[in-house]
Amino acid sequence: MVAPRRAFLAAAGTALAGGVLAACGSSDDDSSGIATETGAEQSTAASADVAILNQALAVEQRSVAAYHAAAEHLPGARRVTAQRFEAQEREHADALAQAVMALGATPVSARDRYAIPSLDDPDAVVRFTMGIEQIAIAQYLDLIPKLSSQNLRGTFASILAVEAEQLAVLREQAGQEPVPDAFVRGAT
Amino acid sequence: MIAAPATRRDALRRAGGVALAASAAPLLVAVRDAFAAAGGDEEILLAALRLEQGLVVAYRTLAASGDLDARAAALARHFGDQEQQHLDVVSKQLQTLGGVVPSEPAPAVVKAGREALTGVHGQAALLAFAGALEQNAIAAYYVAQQALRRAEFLQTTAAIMANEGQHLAVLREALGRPPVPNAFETGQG
Repeated sequence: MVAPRRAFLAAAGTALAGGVLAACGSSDDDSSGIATETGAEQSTAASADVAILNQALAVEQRSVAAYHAAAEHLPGARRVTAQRFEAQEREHADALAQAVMALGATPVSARDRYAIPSLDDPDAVVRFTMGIEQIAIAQYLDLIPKLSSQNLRGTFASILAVEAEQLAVLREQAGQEPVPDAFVRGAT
Repeated sequence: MIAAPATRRDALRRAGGVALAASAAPLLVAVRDAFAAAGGDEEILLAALRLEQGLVVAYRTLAASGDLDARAAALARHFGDQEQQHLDVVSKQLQTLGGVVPSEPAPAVVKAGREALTGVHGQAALLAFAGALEQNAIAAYYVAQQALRRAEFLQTTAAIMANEGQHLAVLREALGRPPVPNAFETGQG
Protein backbone atom coordinates (compact mmCIF):
# COMPACT_ATOMS: atom_id res chain seq x y z
CA MET A 1 0.00 0.00 0.00
CA VAL A 2 1.65 3.14 -1.19
CA ALA A 3 0.08 5.99 0.74
CA PRO A 4 0.99 4.97 4.31
CA ARG A 5 4.50 4.13 3.21
CA ARG A 6 4.80 7.57 1.70
CA ALA A 7 3.57 9.12 4.92
CA PHE A 8 6.05 6.99 6.79
CA LEU A 9 8.95 8.15 4.68
CA ALA A 10 7.74 11.72 4.67
CA ALA A 11 7.79 11.64 8.44
CA ALA A 12 11.22 10.11 8.53
CA GLY A 13 12.57 12.52 5.95
CA THR A 14 11.26 15.47 7.88
CA ALA A 15 12.97 14.16 10.97
CA LEU A 16 16.20 13.85 9.07
CA ALA A 17 15.95 17.47 8.08
CA GLY A 18 15.75 18.39 11.73
CA GLY A 19 12.17 19.58 11.53
CA VAL A 20 10.34 16.57 12.79
CA LEU A 21 9.32 18.16 16.04
CA ALA A 22 7.50 20.85 14.17
CA ALA A 23 5.05 18.21 13.07
CA CYS A 24 5.22 15.71 15.85
CA GLY A 25 4.59 15.99 19.49
CA SER A 26 7.31 15.42 21.94
CA SER A 27 5.84 15.18 25.39
CA ASP A 28 5.73 18.89 26.07
CA ASP A 29 5.57 20.57 22.71
CA ASP A 30 2.83 22.67 21.23
CA SER A 31 2.45 24.57 18.04
CA SER A 32 3.93 27.71 19.49
CA GLY A 33 6.76 26.09 21.37
CA ILE A 34 8.29 24.00 18.65
CA ALA A 35 10.66 26.64 17.41
CA THR A 36 12.44 26.55 20.75
CA GLU A 37 13.56 22.95 20.26
CA THR A 38 17.30 22.82 19.90
CA GLY A 39 19.11 20.85 17.26
CA ALA A 40 20.40 18.50 19.93
CA GLU A 41 16.88 17.81 21.19
CA GLN A 42 15.66 17.13 17.68
CA SER A 43 18.57 14.80 17.09
CA THR A 44 17.85 12.94 20.31
CA ALA A 45 14.19 12.52 19.36
CA ALA A 46 15.13 11.23 15.92
CA SER A 47 17.64 8.79 17.45
CA ALA A 48 14.99 7.50 19.81
CA ASP A 49 12.60 7.01 16.90
CA VAL A 50 15.27 5.10 15.00
CA ALA A 51 15.68 2.72 17.93
CA ILE A 52 11.92 2.23 18.12
CA LEU A 53 11.66 1.69 14.37
CA ASN A 54 14.40 -0.93 14.56
CA GLN A 55 12.65 -2.64 17.46
CA ALA A 56 9.46 -2.85 15.41
CA LEU A 57 11.45 -4.00 12.39
CA ALA A 58 12.86 -6.91 14.40
CA VAL A 59 9.31 -7.90 15.36
CA GLU A 60 8.24 -7.84 11.72
CA GLN A 61 11.27 -9.84 10.57
CA ARG A 62 10.37 -12.51 13.08
CA SER A 63 6.76 -12.47 11.90
CA VAL A 64 7.85 -12.89 8.27
CA ALA A 65 9.93 -15.92 9.24
CA ALA A 66 7.09 -17.34 11.32
CA TYR A 67 4.48 -17.06 8.57
CA HIS A 68 6.94 -18.43 6.01
CA ALA A 69 7.48 -21.50 8.17
CA ALA A 70 3.77 -21.75 8.90
CA ALA A 71 2.82 -21.65 5.22
CA GLU A 72 5.09 -24.60 4.54
CA HIS A 73 3.18 -26.65 7.10
CA LEU A 74 -0.39 -25.67 6.28
CA PRO A 75 -2.73 -26.99 3.61
CA GLY A 76 -5.24 -25.23 1.37
CA ALA A 77 -6.92 -22.04 2.48
CA ARG A 78 -4.89 -21.82 5.67
CA ARG A 79 -1.70 -21.82 3.59
CA VAL A 80 -3.06 -19.04 1.39
CA THR A 81 -3.88 -17.00 4.49
CA ALA A 82 -0.38 -17.54 5.93
CA GLN A 83 1.19 -16.50 2.63
CA ARG A 84 -0.96 -13.37 2.47
CA PHE A 85 -0.08 -12.44 6.03
CA GLU A 86 3.62 -13.10 5.38
CA ALA A 87 3.46 -10.67 2.45
CA GLN A 88 1.79 -8.07 4.66
CA GLU A 89 4.40 -8.49 7.39
CA ARG A 90 7.05 -8.06 4.71
CA GLU A 91 5.39 -4.79 3.66
CA HIS A 92 5.58 -3.62 7.26
CA ALA A 93 9.24 -4.62 7.47
CA ASP A 94 10.10 -2.90 4.20
CA ALA A 95 8.40 0.32 5.24
CA LEU A 96 10.08 0.30 8.65
CA ALA A 97 13.52 -0.35 7.13
CA GLN A 98 13.04 2.48 4.64
CA ALA A 99 12.00 4.82 7.43
CA VAL A 100 15.16 3.96 9.37
CA MET A 101 17.27 4.65 6.30
CA ALA A 102 15.47 7.92 5.66
CA LEU A 103 16.60 8.98 9.13
CA GLY A 104 20.18 8.30 8.09
CA ALA A 105 20.50 5.13 10.15
CA THR A 106 20.97 1.46 9.39
CA PRO A 107 18.08 -0.96 9.71
CA VAL A 108 18.66 -4.05 11.81
CA SER A 109 19.24 -7.18 9.79
CA ALA A 110 17.02 -10.20 10.05
CA ARG A 111 18.54 -13.11 11.92
CA ASP A 112 19.84 -16.07 9.97
CA ARG A 113 17.37 -18.28 11.80
CA TYR A 114 14.53 -17.98 14.27
CA ALA A 115 13.36 -20.43 16.88
CA ILE A 116 10.39 -22.13 15.27
CA PRO A 117 8.65 -24.91 17.22
CA SER A 118 7.68 -28.23 15.74
CA LEU A 119 4.86 -27.51 13.30
CA ASP A 120 3.44 -30.89 12.37
CA ASP A 121 -0.16 -30.28 13.38
CA PRO A 122 -2.03 -27.55 11.42
CA ASP A 123 -3.86 -26.45 14.55
CA ALA A 124 -0.54 -26.05 16.35
CA VAL A 125 0.74 -23.99 13.43
CA VAL A 126 -2.19 -21.61 13.68
CA ARG A 127 -1.77 -21.35 17.44
CA PHE A 128 1.91 -20.55 16.88
CA THR A 129 1.07 -17.69 14.49
CA MET A 130 -1.56 -16.43 16.93
CA GLY A 131 1.17 -16.21 19.56
CA ILE A 132 3.37 -14.28 17.14
CA GLU A 133 0.55 -11.80 16.55
CA GLN A 134 -0.14 -11.43 20.28
CA ILE A 135 3.50 -10.50 20.87
CA ALA A 136 3.55 -8.07 17.93
CA ILE A 137 0.39 -6.34 19.17
CA ALA A 138 1.80 -5.92 22.68
CA GLN A 139 5.03 -4.53 21.22
CA TYR A 140 3.27 -1.95 19.07
CA LEU A 141 1.05 -0.84 21.94
CA ASP A 142 4.15 -0.36 24.06
CA LEU A 143 6.06 1.49 21.34
CA ILE A 144 3.42 3.93 20.08
CA PRO A 145 3.58 6.39 23.00
CA LYS A 146 7.37 6.34 22.90
CA LEU A 147 7.56 7.72 19.36
CA SER A 148 8.16 11.42 19.04
CA SER A 149 6.91 11.59 15.47
CA GLN A 150 3.15 12.01 15.17
CA ASN A 151 3.12 10.52 11.69
CA LEU A 152 5.01 7.46 12.83
CA ARG A 153 2.53 7.01 15.68
CA GLY A 154 -0.27 6.95 13.13
CA THR A 155 1.58 4.48 10.96
CA PHE A 156 2.38 2.20 13.89
CA ALA A 157 -1.32 2.27 14.82
CA SER A 158 -2.23 1.33 11.24
CA ILE A 159 0.12 -1.66 11.48
CA LEU A 160 -1.22 -2.58 14.93
CA ALA A 161 -4.76 -2.62 13.52
CA VAL A 162 -3.68 -5.02 10.79
CA GLU A 163 -1.98 -7.34 13.29
CA ALA A 164 -5.24 -7.32 15.26
CA GLU A 165 -7.25 -8.12 12.14
CA GLN A 166 -4.90 -10.98 11.30
CA LEU A 167 -5.29 -12.32 14.83
CA ALA A 168 -9.08 -12.28 14.48
CA VAL A 169 -8.82 -14.32 11.28
CA LEU A 170 -6.44 -16.81 12.90
CA ARG A 171 -8.73 -17.16 15.92
CA GLU A 172 -11.59 -17.99 13.61
CA GLN A 173 -9.44 -20.61 11.87
CA ALA A 174 -8.69 -22.09 15.28
CA GLY A 175 -12.40 -22.31 16.07
CA GLN A 176 -12.24 -19.52 18.62
CA GLU A 177 -14.29 -16.36 19.07
CA PRO A 178 -12.55 -13.95 16.66
CA VAL A 179 -13.05 -10.78 18.72
CA PRO A 180 -13.18 -11.77 22.38
CA ASP A 181 -11.93 -8.52 23.91
CA ALA A 182 -13.00 -4.90 23.47
CA PHE A 183 -9.40 -3.75 23.93
CA VAL A 184 -6.75 -5.46 21.85
CA ARG A 185 -3.63 -5.53 23.99
CA GLY A 186 -1.81 -8.66 22.90
CA ALA A 187 0.41 -10.66 25.21
CA THR A 188 4.09 -10.93 25.88
CA MET B 1 -8.46 21.11 14.03
CA ILE B 2 -6.53 17.93 13.38
CA ALA B 3 -7.94 16.64 10.13
CA ALA B 4 -9.56 17.80 6.97
CA PRO B 5 -13.29 17.06 7.01
CA ALA B 6 -14.40 14.08 4.98
CA THR B 7 -16.84 14.48 2.15
CA ARG B 8 -20.09 12.54 1.99
CA ARG B 9 -18.67 10.66 -0.98
CA ASP B 10 -15.54 9.72 1.03
CA ALA B 11 -17.69 8.37 3.82
CA LEU B 12 -19.99 6.37 1.57
CA ARG B 13 -17.07 5.00 -0.44
CA ARG B 14 -15.92 3.14 2.64
CA ALA B 15 -18.89 0.78 2.39
CA GLY B 16 -16.58 -1.43 0.33
CA GLY B 17 -18.41 -1.47 -2.93
CA VAL B 18 -21.89 -2.01 -1.52
CA ALA B 19 -24.11 0.93 -2.45
CA LEU B 20 -25.38 2.74 0.60
CA ALA B 21 -28.27 5.16 0.69
CA ALA B 22 -27.38 8.84 0.85
CA SER B 23 -29.23 8.93 4.18
CA ALA B 24 -26.25 7.08 5.70
CA ALA B 25 -23.80 9.81 4.82
CA PRO B 26 -24.41 12.27 7.70
CA LEU B 27 -23.69 9.67 10.38
CA LEU B 28 -20.67 8.31 8.52
CA VAL B 29 -19.25 11.80 8.09
CA ALA B 30 -19.87 12.55 11.77
CA VAL B 31 -17.91 9.44 12.73
CA ARG B 32 -15.11 10.15 10.26
CA ASP B 33 -14.76 13.72 11.47
CA ALA B 34 -15.18 12.93 15.16
CA PHE B 35 -11.86 14.52 16.04
CA ALA B 36 -11.75 17.22 13.37
CA ALA B 37 -12.56 20.05 15.75
CA ALA B 38 -10.81 18.59 18.80
CA GLY B 39 -7.60 20.02 20.17
CA GLY B 40 -5.85 18.68 23.25
CA ASP B 41 -6.35 15.40 25.05
CA GLU B 42 -9.56 16.37 26.88
CA GLU B 43 -11.34 17.46 23.71
CA ILE B 44 -10.13 14.39 21.84
CA LEU B 45 -11.38 12.08 24.60
CA LEU B 46 -14.74 13.85 24.62
CA ALA B 47 -14.92 13.40 20.86
CA ALA B 48 -14.00 9.72 21.25
CA LEU B 49 -16.78 9.37 23.81
CA ARG B 50 -19.27 10.90 21.36
CA LEU B 51 -17.98 8.62 18.63
CA GLU B 52 -18.43 5.54 20.80
CA GLN B 53 -21.91 6.65 21.85
CA GLY B 54 -22.80 6.81 18.17
CA LEU B 55 -21.42 3.32 17.54
CA VAL B 56 -23.34 1.88 20.51
CA VAL B 57 -26.57 3.39 19.22
CA ALA B 58 -25.87 2.17 15.70
CA TYR B 59 -25.16 -1.43 16.71
CA ARG B 60 -28.15 -1.61 19.05
CA THR B 61 -30.36 -0.29 16.29
CA LEU B 62 -28.93 -2.81 13.84
CA ALA B 63 -29.40 -5.68 16.27
CA ALA B 64 -33.03 -4.73 16.82
CA SER B 65 -33.79 -3.99 13.18
CA GLY B 66 -35.32 -7.38 12.44
CA ASP B 67 -33.46 -7.40 9.13
CA LEU B 68 -30.54 -9.50 10.41
CA ASP B 69 -30.51 -13.27 10.81
CA ALA B 70 -29.76 -14.68 14.26
CA ARG B 71 -26.01 -14.92 13.71
CA ALA B 72 -25.68 -11.40 12.34
CA ALA B 73 -27.90 -10.01 15.08
CA ALA B 74 -25.71 -11.70 17.70
CA LEU B 75 -22.66 -10.19 16.04
CA ALA B 76 -24.22 -6.72 16.18
CA ARG B 77 -25.04 -7.18 19.87
CA HIS B 78 -21.50 -8.41 20.60
CA PHE B 79 -19.87 -5.51 18.79
CA GLY B 80 -22.29 -3.07 20.42
CA ASP B 81 -21.32 -4.42 23.85
CA GLN B 82 -17.65 -3.88 23.01
CA GLU B 83 -18.35 -0.30 21.87
CA GLN B 84 -20.06 0.20 25.24
CA GLN B 85 -16.88 -1.02 26.97
CA HIS B 86 -14.87 1.50 24.95
CA LEU B 87 -17.33 4.17 25.99
CA ASP B 88 -17.02 3.25 29.68
CA VAL B 89 -13.22 3.35 29.69
CA VAL B 90 -12.97 6.55 27.66
CA SER B 91 -15.49 8.13 30.05
CA LYS B 92 -13.31 7.25 33.04
CA GLN B 93 -10.23 8.65 31.35
CA LEU B 94 -12.06 11.84 30.47
CA GLN B 95 -13.07 12.20 34.13
CA THR B 96 -9.43 11.94 35.21
CA LEU B 97 -8.88 15.16 33.28
CA GLY B 98 -11.84 16.81 34.98
CA GLY B 99 -13.98 16.51 31.88
CA VAL B 100 -17.75 16.26 32.07
CA VAL B 101 -19.18 13.04 30.66
CA PRO B 102 -22.42 13.53 28.77
CA SER B 103 -24.86 10.85 29.84
CA GLU B 104 -26.67 10.63 26.54
CA PRO B 105 -25.54 10.65 22.92
CA ALA B 106 -25.77 14.02 21.23
CA PRO B 107 -29.26 14.50 19.76
CA ALA B 108 -27.69 15.15 16.37
CA VAL B 109 -25.99 11.74 16.46
CA VAL B 110 -29.21 9.98 17.43
CA LYS B 111 -31.05 11.80 14.67
CA ALA B 112 -28.35 10.99 12.13
CA GLY B 113 -28.40 7.34 13.20
CA ARG B 114 -32.15 7.08 12.89
CA GLU B 115 -32.15 8.77 9.49
CA ALA B 116 -29.23 6.66 8.26
CA LEU B 117 -31.12 3.45 8.83
CA THR B 118 -34.29 4.64 7.17
CA GLY B 119 -32.54 4.17 3.85
CA VAL B 120 -30.59 0.99 4.59
CA HIS B 121 -32.47 -2.29 4.30
CA GLY B 122 -31.54 -5.94 4.08
CA GLN B 123 -28.77 -7.82 5.83
CA ALA B 124 -26.02 -7.18 3.27
CA ALA B 125 -26.66 -3.44 3.24
CA LEU B 126 -26.85 -3.26 7.03
CA LEU B 127 -23.57 -5.14 7.45
CA ALA B 128 -21.98 -2.93 4.80
CA PHE B 129 -23.24 0.08 6.74
CA ALA B 130 -21.67 -1.32 9.91
CA GLY B 131 -18.43 -1.89 7.98
CA ALA B 132 -18.50 1.68 6.71
CA LEU B 133 -19.04 2.90 10.28
CA GLU B 134 -16.06 0.88 11.48
CA GLN B 135 -13.86 2.07 8.64
CA ASN B 136 -14.72 5.69 9.37
CA ALA B 137 -14.12 5.14 13.08
CA ILE B 138 -10.69 3.68 12.29
CA ALA B 139 -9.92 6.71 10.12
CA ALA B 140 -10.85 8.94 13.06
CA TYR B 141 -8.72 7.01 15.56
CA TYR B 142 -5.82 7.00 13.10
CA VAL B 143 -5.93 10.78 13.21
CA ALA B 144 -6.28 10.77 17.00
CA GLN B 145 -3.08 8.73 17.31
CA GLN B 146 -1.26 11.64 15.77
CA ALA B 147 -2.77 14.22 18.10
CA LEU B 148 -3.05 12.70 21.58
CA ARG B 149 -0.17 13.30 23.98
CA ARG B 150 -0.58 11.26 27.14
CA ALA B 151 0.72 7.71 26.89
CA GLU B 152 -2.26 6.07 28.58
CA PHE B 153 -4.71 7.76 26.21
CA LEU B 154 -2.60 6.81 23.20
CA GLN B 155 -2.57 3.19 24.33
CA THR B 156 -6.27 3.07 25.09
CA THR B 157 -7.28 4.56 21.76
CA ALA B 158 -4.79 2.36 19.88
CA ALA B 159 -6.26 -0.71 21.59
CA ILE B 160 -9.73 0.50 20.58
CA MET B 161 -8.64 1.19 16.99
CA ALA B 162 -7.26 -2.35 16.81
CA ASN B 163 -10.57 -3.71 18.08
CA GLU B 164 -12.49 -1.71 15.47
CA GLY B 165 -10.13 -3.25 12.91
CA GLN B 166 -11.13 -6.71 14.13
CA HIS B 167 -14.81 -5.78 13.85
CA LEU B 168 -14.15 -4.59 10.31
CA ALA B 169 -12.33 -7.82 9.40
CA VAL B 170 -15.24 -9.92 10.63
CA LEU B 171 -17.77 -7.75 8.81
CA ARG B 172 -15.75 -7.96 5.58
CA GLU B 173 -15.72 -11.72 5.89
CA ALA B 174 -19.47 -11.76 6.48
CA LEU B 175 -19.85 -9.81 3.24
CA GLY B 176 -17.67 -12.29 1.34
CA ARG B 177 -14.71 -9.96 1.06
CA PRO B 178 -11.08 -10.55 2.07
CA PRO B 179 -10.94 -9.80 5.80
CA VAL B 180 -7.49 -8.18 5.72
CA PRO B 181 -7.01 -6.66 2.27
CA ASN B 182 -4.24 -4.18 3.11
CA ALA B 183 -1.02 -4.21 5.10
CA PHE B 184 -1.88 -0.84 6.68
CA GLU B 185 -5.31 -0.09 8.15
CA THR B 186 -5.87 3.63 8.09
CA GLY B 187 -9.61 3.62 7.46
CA GLN B 188 -9.05 4.94 3.97
CA GLY B 189 -10.33 3.31 0.80
